[in-house]
Amino acid sequence: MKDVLMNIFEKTVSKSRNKGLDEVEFYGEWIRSLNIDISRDKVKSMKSSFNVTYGIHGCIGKRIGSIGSRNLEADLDTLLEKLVSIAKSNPEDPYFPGFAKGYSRGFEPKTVDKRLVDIDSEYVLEILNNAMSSSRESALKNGAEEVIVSEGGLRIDNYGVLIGNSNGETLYHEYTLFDIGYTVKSRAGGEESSFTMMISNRMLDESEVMKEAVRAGEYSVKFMKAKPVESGTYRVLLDHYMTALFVATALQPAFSAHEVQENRSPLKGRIGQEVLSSSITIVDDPFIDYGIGSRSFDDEGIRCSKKAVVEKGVLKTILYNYYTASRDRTLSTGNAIRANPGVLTRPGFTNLVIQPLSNLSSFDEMASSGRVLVVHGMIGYWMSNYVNGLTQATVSHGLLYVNGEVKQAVKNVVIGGNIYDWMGSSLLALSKDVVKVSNIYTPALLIENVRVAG
Amino acid sequence: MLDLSWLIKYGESRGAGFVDIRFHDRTYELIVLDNGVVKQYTVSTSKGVGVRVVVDKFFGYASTNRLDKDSLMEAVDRAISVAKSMSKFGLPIELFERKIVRDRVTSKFSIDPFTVDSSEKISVLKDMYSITRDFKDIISCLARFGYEYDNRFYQSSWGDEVEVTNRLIGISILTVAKVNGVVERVHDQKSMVAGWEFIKSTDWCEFSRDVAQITVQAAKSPAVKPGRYDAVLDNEMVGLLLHEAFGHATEADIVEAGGSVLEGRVGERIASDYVTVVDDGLVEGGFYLPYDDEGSPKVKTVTVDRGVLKTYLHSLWTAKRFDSKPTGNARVMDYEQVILIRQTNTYMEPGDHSVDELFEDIKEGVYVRGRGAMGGQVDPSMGTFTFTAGPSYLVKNGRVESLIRGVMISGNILETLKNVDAVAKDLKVTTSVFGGCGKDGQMVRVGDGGPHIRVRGLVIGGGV
Repeated sequence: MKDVLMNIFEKTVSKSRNKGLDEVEFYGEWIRSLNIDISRDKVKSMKSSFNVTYGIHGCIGKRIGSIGSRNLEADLDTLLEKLVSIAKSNPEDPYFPGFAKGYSRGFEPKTVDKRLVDIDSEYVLEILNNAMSSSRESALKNGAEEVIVSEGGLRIDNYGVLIGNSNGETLYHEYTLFDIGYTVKSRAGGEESSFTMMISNRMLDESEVMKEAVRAGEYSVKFMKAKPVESGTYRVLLDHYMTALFVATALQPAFSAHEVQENRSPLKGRIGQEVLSSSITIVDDPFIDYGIGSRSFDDEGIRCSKKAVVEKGVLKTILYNYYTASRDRTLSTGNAIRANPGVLTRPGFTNLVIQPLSNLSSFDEMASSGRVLVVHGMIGYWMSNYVNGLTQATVSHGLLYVNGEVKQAVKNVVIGGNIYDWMGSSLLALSKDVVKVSNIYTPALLIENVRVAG
Repeated sequence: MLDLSWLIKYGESRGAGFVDIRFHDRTYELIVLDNGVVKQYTVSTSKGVGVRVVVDKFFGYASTNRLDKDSLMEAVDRAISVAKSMSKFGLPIELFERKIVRDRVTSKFSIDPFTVDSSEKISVLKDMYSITRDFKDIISCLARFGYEYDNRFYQSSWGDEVEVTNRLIGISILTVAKVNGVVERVHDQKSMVAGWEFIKSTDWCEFSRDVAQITVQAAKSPAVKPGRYDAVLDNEMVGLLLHEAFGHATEADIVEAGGSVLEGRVGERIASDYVTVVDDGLVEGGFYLPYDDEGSPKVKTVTVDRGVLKTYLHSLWTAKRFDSKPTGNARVMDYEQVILIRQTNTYMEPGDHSVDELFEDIKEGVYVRGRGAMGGQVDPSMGTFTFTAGPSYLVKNGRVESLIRGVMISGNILETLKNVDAVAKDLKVTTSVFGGCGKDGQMVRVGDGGPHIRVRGLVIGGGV
């Protein structure tokens, strides 16, 4: 399929010159997917799809435009004429340095699991069925009287990406992706409770699937009879998964040079200053084998590099793409991320790795440190605000520990605060172990003085 | 009309008992003006075909955006192949057999936005940005113009042929204010099923000024003190609450999966007498959806009538499964996706009160406002919901007083709807060209709204 993309790219470059564009950048991808949907312990539907999508970005001087297409019937001349019309009507962007040049690869992490490329759909169904069976067995073993896997699904992608520019530079790479997620719902003693498991990986790891399936069954029972706690200030232990969710929404975007330059990040002007607890180092690491964000070059062809972004709490750098780096008169850090082929890049993390340095403890020790609200599930966390660091969510799966004993399961309470406090002055301890949640690798966090509304 | 009946016949010849085809042609224009500079001007097009087959009572889906004859036939073969492989673990399905539908409809518009010069569109955004420059505390402004042309053609082996063309247009703005070290942001948008005439007839500078003003005021405001409050929710918050916290639980595919708190409750009282909830594809101000993606007419569906749950929202499959009728809620994001049951425009029917009357007997409460709200989320299996509101107001002794920020509401939907004790007359429904409703990785356009309502004992918290 690389040939299909290369063919469109070459025609684009050749025609763009005649249309009056000074430069073009091409980003194309093909994707082959298998999707399975679950409903009440059964497979509801299965889908096989194949798509090619590409984006062409062009400029006339400092006037820029973009075209995205998921239409292989589209006439390239017409698309390029539209692109020229957009670019001509656009005012100049005084900061535009041209499209990225100097394509190269860094270290090449593993991003393709060949087993996923050639996998048989019936074997995929077996994996899914085994996982659902394990979840149900685990729930029953932990006290459920009835249990179902209510809804969810499994997705396998194999895709390739081609990046090119009008200098004739190109880079191509392939990836695989395995996603599984479903909700286990249990009943016991007239009560109901549920838990949702999610795994996202570039390789198929059956043992990881089974481990999470068993955990989902166990956790579907653990929060029976949950109720709110009184409003007040609590010591809160965010498990690894919950920490990752808050980091993804309230912290991660603030490191983008784009947000910093547009005054939408509290990290503006803070390089060299302590922004988080000295117990924390944050690394952008694109070279982890099978990491969700792993890559050897970014989405505009610049080589990636491993770097400390926060070292012992001190902000060392923000993340740049070609455009924002030029605007700050520095070099791209190889962190260009493209939301889809038709849009320009923004800087972002590849894999965000939080390294716990001190105040380390085990999860159980942290849960036993007095009166602690342990959070294992929440909704609405994505409404946290990276512009000011505000964090908020409603706890859906919590446990109130008092001196090491679970006093009650907790739900329907709002926890709120600020991520820079939670990972700064209010941070009491971090777990020794680090867990991967999508592209974030994080310890669990024990935090003091968290506002709770019940 | 496009004719893919030959492809349907091919599917039937390969052993499918039922075949339907969704052709989808969509163009989306997006302009992003970031602090006065156009940072993105993209026109994205998408065209492809999705195929669904039923083989021995199992669904199989496939899609392609290669539209040559061989690729389309190959997609049908793949759909049949995956349907056959489901015999061991699959869920057997049957479809509700309704009357054949043949129609072609287009949403109303006067001026095609694609005929309007790009510089005119950019100029509207630039004027909005200039207004925000008058506010010294505004440190960032991001304005967007969006326009979507969406053409869908549905054809089935029953003989259905339905074509719907939709045009949705709008403008949004995000402003960030910094006052004494406190940073606050507010986002707002206005969209309409219409053409360029909607942009021409709206005062976008006034809109921009309002948003900038409330952002600055919010940055100067204290955070809400967490606790339980009597609350008045405005039109937007009611829409958000109903769509997220209640509407998803009425989607029959979630009910069928065992994931809805409303399972087995049709005929039961689940809300106070004041609450009547509707899903309607043709309500003014909302998204235009006369037919769903199975070609079924979208009928006005009363899901809750004066507090009593009357029905779920259905596709052809769930209508048969629940011995009910299709409600026109089978939808897909695009040709590539599988049918899910989705809301269209969800709103509460208006009541008898004036808005002012809702505040009268509140001693200490909160007026929860939707402008600047970031949305919400629900666990439909448990009924737990959470929403962030926009900058809101404290209410004391029946009077709306000072502004507060960081408001997040939370609760259980069935308890909350039972605590609605007053509904105003002022129905308002809105939609958006910049977002919609997400479910299982699919985003579809929706609308929502309602009148102002009063809710007793709402949990309100949030961060600072």
